[in-house]
Amino acid sequence: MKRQVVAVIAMLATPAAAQPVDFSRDIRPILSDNCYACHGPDSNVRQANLRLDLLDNAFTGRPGRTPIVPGDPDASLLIRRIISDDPGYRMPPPESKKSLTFTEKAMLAKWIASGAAWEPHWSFATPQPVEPPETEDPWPRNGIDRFVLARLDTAGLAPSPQAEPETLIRRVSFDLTGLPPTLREIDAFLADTSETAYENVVDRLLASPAYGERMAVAWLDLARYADTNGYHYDNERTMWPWRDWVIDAYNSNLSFDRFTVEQLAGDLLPDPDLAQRIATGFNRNHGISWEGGIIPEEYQLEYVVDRVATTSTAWMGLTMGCARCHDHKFDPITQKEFYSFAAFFNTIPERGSDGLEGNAVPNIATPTRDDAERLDVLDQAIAALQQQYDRPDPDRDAALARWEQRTAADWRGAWTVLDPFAFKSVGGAELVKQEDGSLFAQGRHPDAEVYEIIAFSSVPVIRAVRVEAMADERLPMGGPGRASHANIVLSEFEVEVAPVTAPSDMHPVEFVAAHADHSQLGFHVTRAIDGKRETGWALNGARFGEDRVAIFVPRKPFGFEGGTVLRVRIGQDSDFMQHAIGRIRISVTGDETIHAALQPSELGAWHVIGPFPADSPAAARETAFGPESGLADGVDLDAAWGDGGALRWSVRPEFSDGAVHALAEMDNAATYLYRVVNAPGKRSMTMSFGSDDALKVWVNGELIFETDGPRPAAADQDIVTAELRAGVNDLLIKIANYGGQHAFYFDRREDHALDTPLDVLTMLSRPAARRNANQARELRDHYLSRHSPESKHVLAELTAKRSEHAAIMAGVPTVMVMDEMDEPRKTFLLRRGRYDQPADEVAPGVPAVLAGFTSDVEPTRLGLARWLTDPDHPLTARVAVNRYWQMHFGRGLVETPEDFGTRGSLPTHPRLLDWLAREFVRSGWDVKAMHRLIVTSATYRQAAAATAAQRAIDPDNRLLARGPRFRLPAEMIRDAALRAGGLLVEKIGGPPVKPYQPDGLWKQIGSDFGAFSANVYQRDSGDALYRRTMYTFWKRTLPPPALAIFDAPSREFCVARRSRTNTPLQALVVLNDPTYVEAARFIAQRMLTEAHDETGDGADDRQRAALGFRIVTSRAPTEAEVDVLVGLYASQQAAYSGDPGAVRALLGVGESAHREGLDPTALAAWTIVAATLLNLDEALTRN
Amino acid sequence: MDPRHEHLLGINRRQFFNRTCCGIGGAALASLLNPALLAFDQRKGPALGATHVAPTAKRIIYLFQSGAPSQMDLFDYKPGLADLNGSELPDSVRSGQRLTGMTSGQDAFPVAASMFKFAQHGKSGAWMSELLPNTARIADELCIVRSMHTEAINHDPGITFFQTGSQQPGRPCFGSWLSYGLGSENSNLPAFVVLISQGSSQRDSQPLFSRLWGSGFLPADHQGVQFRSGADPVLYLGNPAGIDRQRRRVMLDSLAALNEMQHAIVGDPEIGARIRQYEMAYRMQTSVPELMDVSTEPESIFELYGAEARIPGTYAANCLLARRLAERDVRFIQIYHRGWDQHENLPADIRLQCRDTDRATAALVLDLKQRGLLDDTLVIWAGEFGRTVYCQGRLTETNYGRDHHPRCFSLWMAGGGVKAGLTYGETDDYSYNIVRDPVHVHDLQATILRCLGIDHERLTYRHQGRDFRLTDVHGRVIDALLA
Repeated sequence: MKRQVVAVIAMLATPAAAQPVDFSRDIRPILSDNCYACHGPDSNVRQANLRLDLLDNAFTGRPGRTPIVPGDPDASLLIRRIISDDPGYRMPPPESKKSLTFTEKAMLAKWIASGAAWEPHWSFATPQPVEPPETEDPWPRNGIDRFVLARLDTAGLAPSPQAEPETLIRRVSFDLTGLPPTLREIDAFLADTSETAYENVVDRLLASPAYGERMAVAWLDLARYADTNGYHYDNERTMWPWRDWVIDAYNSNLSFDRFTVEQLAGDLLPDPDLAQRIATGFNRNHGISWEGGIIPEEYQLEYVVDRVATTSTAWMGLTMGCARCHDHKFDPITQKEFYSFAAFFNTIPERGSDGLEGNAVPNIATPTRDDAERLDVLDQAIAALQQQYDRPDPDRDAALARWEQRTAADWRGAWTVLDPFAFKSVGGAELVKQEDGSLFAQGRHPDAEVYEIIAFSSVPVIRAVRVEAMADERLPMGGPGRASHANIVLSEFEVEVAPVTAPSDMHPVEFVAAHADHSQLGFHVTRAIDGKRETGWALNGARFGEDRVAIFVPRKPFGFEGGTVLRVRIGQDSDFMQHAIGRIRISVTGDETIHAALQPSELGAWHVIGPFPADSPAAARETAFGPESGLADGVDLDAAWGDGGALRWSVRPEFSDGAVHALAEMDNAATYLYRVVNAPGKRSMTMSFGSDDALKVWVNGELIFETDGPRPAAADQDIVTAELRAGVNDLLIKIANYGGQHAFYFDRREDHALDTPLDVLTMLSRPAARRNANQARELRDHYLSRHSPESKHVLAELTAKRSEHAAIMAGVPTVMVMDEMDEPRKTFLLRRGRYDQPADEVAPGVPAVLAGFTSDVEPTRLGLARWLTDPDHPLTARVAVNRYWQMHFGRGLVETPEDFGTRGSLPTHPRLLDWLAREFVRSGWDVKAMHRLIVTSATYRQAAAATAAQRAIDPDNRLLARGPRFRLPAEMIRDAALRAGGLLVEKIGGPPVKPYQPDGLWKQIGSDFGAFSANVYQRDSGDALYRRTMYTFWKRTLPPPALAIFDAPSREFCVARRSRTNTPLQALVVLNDPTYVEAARFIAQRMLTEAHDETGDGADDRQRAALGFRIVTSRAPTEAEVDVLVGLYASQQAAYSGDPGAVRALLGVGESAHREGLDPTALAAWTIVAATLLNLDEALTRN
Repeated sequence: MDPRHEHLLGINRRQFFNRTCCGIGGAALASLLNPALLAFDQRKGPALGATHVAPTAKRIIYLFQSGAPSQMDLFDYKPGLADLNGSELPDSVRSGQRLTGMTSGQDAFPVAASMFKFAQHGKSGAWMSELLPNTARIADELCIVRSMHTEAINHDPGITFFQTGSQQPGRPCFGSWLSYGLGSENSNLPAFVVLISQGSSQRDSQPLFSRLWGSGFLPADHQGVQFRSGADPVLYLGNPAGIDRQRRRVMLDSLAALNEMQHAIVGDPEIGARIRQYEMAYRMQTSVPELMDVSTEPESIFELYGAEARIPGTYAANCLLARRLAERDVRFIQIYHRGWDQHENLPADIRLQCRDTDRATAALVLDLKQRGLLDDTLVIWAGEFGRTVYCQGRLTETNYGRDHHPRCFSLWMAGGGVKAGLTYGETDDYSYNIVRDPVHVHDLQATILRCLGIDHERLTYRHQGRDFRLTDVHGRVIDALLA
């Protein structure tokens, strides 16, 4: 005991203990780092029932064992434990891997000796009104400066002089708009001698549309905004209407409280408009998984957790996510409070596994105002037409009934149902014969199945065989399949026949055509007669619980006098298990009319010509190359095109139907394919196409279909119906290739001339009383469209209006939004944070530590949003203004904008932060006013150059005795280069763009499944290459590399602060990315065309160099700087003059053409100079 | 100085002195000639001043088999399954195990025995299947773990967990932690390099994500740098058309001169750092292509790795590059080979994958050994989880498929302080549950970090108020695996 007392006295005598102790600054970090893990907020692991985050029970204790005795470190158990030599007794214990330094121990002892003053964590209390310190000094321009000056005084530092005007306008232009000033803007500022010259610039910038874009970028980092779904296949989504809402919100200076309420709960406002609903997309920007096999509940939880983490970070600087699995270790947030907070976000009708086709549910269409008006008009017209169409008409209905009866009878009469006399299931199911001649499968449900049916037919000549896969209430979803989802696969259909006189003399029947009333994409019914067990006929996409029919046409009619024995094999032998038909019936027909109608067209062999080169994807698609000339007269297979007629048609019999075939690869090129289609009669033929990339289809010289790429070729990408004449028809297709592989796919789908479509005939085959509502409606539509002139007209109108509606809607992006479920999902505390470990149910609520300043919080997101924007909320305003400060000074007053909790940094200027926060609220949360306040301060306007003394006392400039200087964010570096070259396209909003990116990046990591979007990076051309960087397509699993290298986040999670590194990879980007080389060429063009001497006449090299320097850095160069540039130019001019190839190559970088009429050698040499300028530290830095 | 460094620097010196132009900035000159300034990012030292314990490995080559190879067709020999082939997996074995959505609807779970022959190899007698004849030859170098288990059952969370310690995006990956903790030992190359190859079994190739070599919340300079086959092995490495190396040198000299002038006025040390980064970039323009150019390798090397090692972008070529990177002291060399996700047609596809990888994998270990590099290089061969003993899809005499299985899987390590010739851990007769010595993914991470001299609980980074680590709040070093 005695030794310990000595130790404490010794500690109190050390220099560390000489300074006054501040609990928040000096003591809480020690306790939090070393003690809270076991003596903190987490009740589950708390040891000895001692809390050192709330000191109420640390002051009281058992006699002689009180942890903290104010004023008496010797008597405090805490001190005895931390200074003990006994490792078993000493705190923190060895297994914690933590230890206190001597200074830390001394600080604790000193703190207790001086009374152990304790204060609650600063950020959990409402900021109190505070006045800026009084001063006589003339330096301050506003309240900010008075706080800063007072702090500098205590450190013995003085503010720096104001920055040079060129530096200042460049600094504030970047900070408020993300762009450097133009030369004209600089000149105007330099010429403005008024008192308010600088304020004028600030106001101009705040009013510029670029302001909204710049502010939005930081918000997009927080909101983890991206253009893909993030997990696994990472395909495309459309959240950009939300992104455009953010830009617009900043530009219209939406107050921060409205900004908050609309994003968190716009949907819950009374009568919300479209913009307010779009705003709620904030909480849908998280990743969404559609990986096969995930458990939806698990991911739905992740989305909710992400919303909690993001919302609490963005608005409160709180790390609430840490309380998911247990009470927070450092901040007073319990696990229960985490789930109460989560309950606000857990009641939207979302699916855990979603996003296959872009936006997950819930989402809404976001038409433009024009589109919305047009849609409204269409909706009304459609309603009126529908009413007209639905009007009862007894005569017409009677005629419909007669038509139904007659057509059904004719169709039924044409077919003879086979009566199976022997049948079996190879897979072991039990087949039960039904009254209507069908067989019903029950019992064992094997993976693979073959039904063998033997039947006798007296039809003398059989011309077609029909298979009905029948609905039955006993089957899952009403059938026709036995699988739980009711789908079927008919992998092979085989028939053998024998005369009844010699039943064992079986011969196989060869089928040449197959038709079905519905075939699933990729599973056309012809696959059931292709001889391959792994392919087959399937039904997805059709309604289940209805009959489906397939008809098979033999090469030659068959049958024997006196009767025929048929052995039919219905195989379900594909890799899809348990997809057998549940109820099946076989019929045959000898009807010659039906047979003729079912005869397929003859398809000639494919002829191919190409590739025809072009300059761009668009040119490859749109240029009418040779084969497109004289189309009306047919295709001339003897013609030749290209250089010296090098391109000729060749016949390719190996290009079989139903498979993807590769074509000769060439980027930006087109290939044509041609074949003859010989139709037995006038008819419609439906074809299936796939193409890599764009596709056009002509039939008999008429363009009937076109679609744009890019895409890898796959089956059934486009289904196209052509009207054929009897006899020879010309089918010509064009495949435009954008880059890499070049391929096409073709298959025939429907190809018959039946008067009535098969699906209608199938519906008619079922008694009227047993048809469902859809079937009844479709039958009526079919009849009226053919047999009632008036209704036909109305129906045609309806169809036209509906397709116009659909066409508009197809172009209207959706956006994911927040919406409430009809029956809200319950929220539970989840043990260990696991989706499958629910404990007690919780109600929506906010953490108790913050709840005190306002009365009841309504248990809705709207209530939460209103609570957050209560003027007395301790965190919301502080967190917001701190981030604004960070934008302008490179570091927040609280260095950890993402953490205002006990482990976050303490504010460097706490009173200034509170004053700003109160000002913000007082102004009505006026965001532009807050930025204006900050950037018009004298503190902001200081020069950035550091004196040796400043650097020694305050190397990181925390006290703000000089101006902020830091490397520009990724987006600004690129935007500045584009603007310097005059290339920047200043269009706001819209879909994302794909500028230059190294080839093959997406492909190397992406999935090779063709079905997923955002798998192939197809670079854009034209204006899209030069849009502001914030519009670059953001693929989360592979963010734009040139931006990632400059510290742009992946957008997989909320980020409040980017790192700012300095690496060789960054040098490589600015040196070698075509973006910068092309921009340099445009800057060089400006140097050659815009430079002039004092009289406005032609310029010399020094003036050209100076102009380029000023374009890039916003300031005039020194003579020494010009010397370096002119020397560089001279050496390059000399080097390039003997090397025209290198000149051409350099000027050819980038898509844009270089300006005519300039000396190429000079342009190349100046391009080198400009490229050097773009790489200057000063160009990459905001000074 | 390490002779390999000397060699590289020598090249640079020659190039430097052979230049025809003049005017290089003083700082650039200093950075070229002063090895102390040559670190990839020399401003900030590594987070750990010294390792916590003596390291047994200086670097890692991580051969990640993406998609999850089947343990019972490669390493986890289960002779008893032959008799059980086609029989239903007993409920007592499965005992309510979570299944993926891909087979959870299956009505039956027939056992699919491996159709590949197994034999014991080396003095250690390690069991391996006939699919790995070359790996079998290095059996005595390997430390095989058959009792790995993980928490994730699907690829995205599984591979993210394996590489970052968390199933959800946001954490730094293994290589980033090492770059942060230990820094770089090479002056001309990044500390953390990633190489990717595509397996021959194209079917169902699962995607990768750049977060797997991303730095998460660590500063972005710790992210992995992907080296690719083709003209630009590192993104943006090549000079643009019309700019040759000499012209680039002249540009950089002017650039350095101008930056020096700015530095004299502003006094910001960032400017000096930037000048050095540009010089480093310039050096990478030769050091990386030189590294990637395997044409100087002797014929015997191609005999060892196989002819595919001549084809850029293949797994074999990447293994050879891994050795060259290891020679140059790159800290973390991460290889991804895709295509192991064999839900169906496993027998055919696993043959293709093994043909891609077996020879080059073994060659890499042998090559490291013959150069004395295996002693301080830790080689790891692993996928993100295992596969089910029961068949996914149809079980036939010649074909089967396997679904994802997190409860047990196999991997191996070699070199750098792990016990050679050890087979560790044991699963039940169905290779379904671990019966002895389980190793969790966090345990593996902790053990690997130990090999590098790091206490996994003490390599931390504060983010959002929490001191994060690769092993989250879990993991224990498996001493039995260490030599």
